[in-house]
Amino acid sequence: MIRGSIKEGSPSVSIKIGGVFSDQPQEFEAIVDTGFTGFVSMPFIKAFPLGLPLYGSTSVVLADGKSQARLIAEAQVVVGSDSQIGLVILEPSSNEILVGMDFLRHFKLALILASYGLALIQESEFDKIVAEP
Amino acid sequence: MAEQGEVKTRRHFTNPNEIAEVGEKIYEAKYQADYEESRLGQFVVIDVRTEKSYVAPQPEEALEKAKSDSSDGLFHLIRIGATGAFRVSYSSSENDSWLY
Repeated sequence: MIRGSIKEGSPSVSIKIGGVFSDQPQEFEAIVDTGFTGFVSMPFIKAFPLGLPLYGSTSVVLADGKSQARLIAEAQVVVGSDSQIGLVILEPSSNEILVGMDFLRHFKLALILASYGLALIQESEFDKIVAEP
Repeated sequence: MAEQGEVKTRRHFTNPNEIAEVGEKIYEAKYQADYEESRLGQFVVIDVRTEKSYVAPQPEEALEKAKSDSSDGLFHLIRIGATGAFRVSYSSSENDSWLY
């Protein structure tokens, strides 16, 4: 189980991000955003020092329904003892790192959330919790 | 003589809006009708230089296929049948053009 915390009202978890072949990924605090369907969203200014390979663009749909283009890169993300490679959306004017629903899918994790804390557990544990008695 | 589909465009792109615009045009012209009928919900990567497409159920898989075929490609990722490949929970009213 991976424990997170509530910071300024938002669920937050510690992750490491680095290049695909990096052996020294950097540690960051990321907000768990279930309204984000992607893997990781990261500000440009924090991504540059990591030297993530850029692959092109994609379109994201904002909360107001508008669509905007974003650059995409690839990164290695470490949570606990597990490491996964996935797509990172680069945000030009944000200062927060977000992890979304694809993050849970990649790591096969389930999110348990309370107003005062959060935990990421294995999907298999979640299945046991929600299984019919 | 270049093979059909192997023509490489060496246009220079200066920001993601340009890459996305070209990628979307290629997708609409060559792939949208077919893919929305047969592969709704999957992800397609368009190589904006070769106009080739690479489809997979997950975005990373589509990108890996594209990278394997074209190591120096420039790609636009689309979710078939959706307005955008991903949804985010914020709105932006800022003009980001300063960055590009």
